[in-house]
Amino acid sequence: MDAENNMNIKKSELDNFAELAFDELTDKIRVTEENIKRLEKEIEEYVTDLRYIKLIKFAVLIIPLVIFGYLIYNNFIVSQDFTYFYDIGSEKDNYLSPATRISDKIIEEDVNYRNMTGHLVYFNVPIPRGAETIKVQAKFKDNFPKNTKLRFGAKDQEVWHYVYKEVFNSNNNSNEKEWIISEEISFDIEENNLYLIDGKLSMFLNMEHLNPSRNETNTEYIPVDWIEIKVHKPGAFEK
Amino acid sequence: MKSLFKGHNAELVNHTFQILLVTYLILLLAEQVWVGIVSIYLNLNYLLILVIIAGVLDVFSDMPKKEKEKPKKWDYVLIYFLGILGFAIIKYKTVELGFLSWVISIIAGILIILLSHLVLEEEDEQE
Repeated sequence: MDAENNMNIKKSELDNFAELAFDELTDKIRVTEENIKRLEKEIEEYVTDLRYIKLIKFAVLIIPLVIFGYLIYNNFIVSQDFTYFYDIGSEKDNYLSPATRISDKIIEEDVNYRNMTGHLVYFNVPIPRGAETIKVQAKFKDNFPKNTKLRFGAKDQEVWHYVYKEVFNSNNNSNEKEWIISEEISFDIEENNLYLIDGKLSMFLNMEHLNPSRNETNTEYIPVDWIEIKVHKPGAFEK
Repeated sequence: MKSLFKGHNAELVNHTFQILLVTYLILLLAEQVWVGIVSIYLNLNYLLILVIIAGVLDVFSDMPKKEKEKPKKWDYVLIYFLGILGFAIIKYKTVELGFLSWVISIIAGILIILLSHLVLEEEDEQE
């Protein structure tokens, strides 16, 4: 009887121990499972982050590609017309030189302008690479004495040398003291062998009668309102 | 100094800064060699502003330290290539100076190579 009781007690202890061990093991498995799930989640987040980072890095790489593509397209492929409008007498007006051959800005009701008081007044025009033709037009007041002209010149040699074209001849006009828009004249960069310095073309307005040797009284002047330059750059397929 | 960006974000800021800086420098170089090729179509100052902003953010980023690699044969090839390129560009830009142009461009090319060598060797010493 005693032996049977002892057996039962030992069996009960063993059961208790097994139960405790099982509970402990279950807890450990649960904790491990939780850790695995957490790690899986972290790995997933890390991989998602990596994808997101790679995507953004790729997007950043596109920036220079777009810029280079844009520049190649504009410089070499597409045909373009650039219009430079020099509004003489406006707030931004700082186009003409030398200052001794132009007046201060004159502001009237509907027009701002400057008077040209010297025979050669210079300005620079940015010329894009591959440009072909330059068209020039100006608005000025017909304050020309008889037998005088307005000409535009463009630098065509390294030394001081300009090719010039006439835009106005007072003999052919009778709009005295009126604002007039000149005819459009054209220079061909290749044909006229124009000389660019740092991508800019030096041009001048020439009113020979304002030369100090001929304008001794210094009372002559030509009011100029604006100068418009149109530069045409042919595209790769236009050539 | 307190870091604004850490980990992946810091890496991203650094990557952006490097890409923008290299792009800006290439465009600036192209503009110097072929005047107007960039400036007629794009105001480089806008890109410079982006480079400065990215640079400032990069300074405040906590980048994980990378193990420095030993300079390889290609690093030296690149140094000599950049030295020769620098020489050619300076010669092209100063060609009007005649003999002086050769002197300036050769000295500049040698300086580029020597300074690049110095930078590589400094890295070795730090290791």
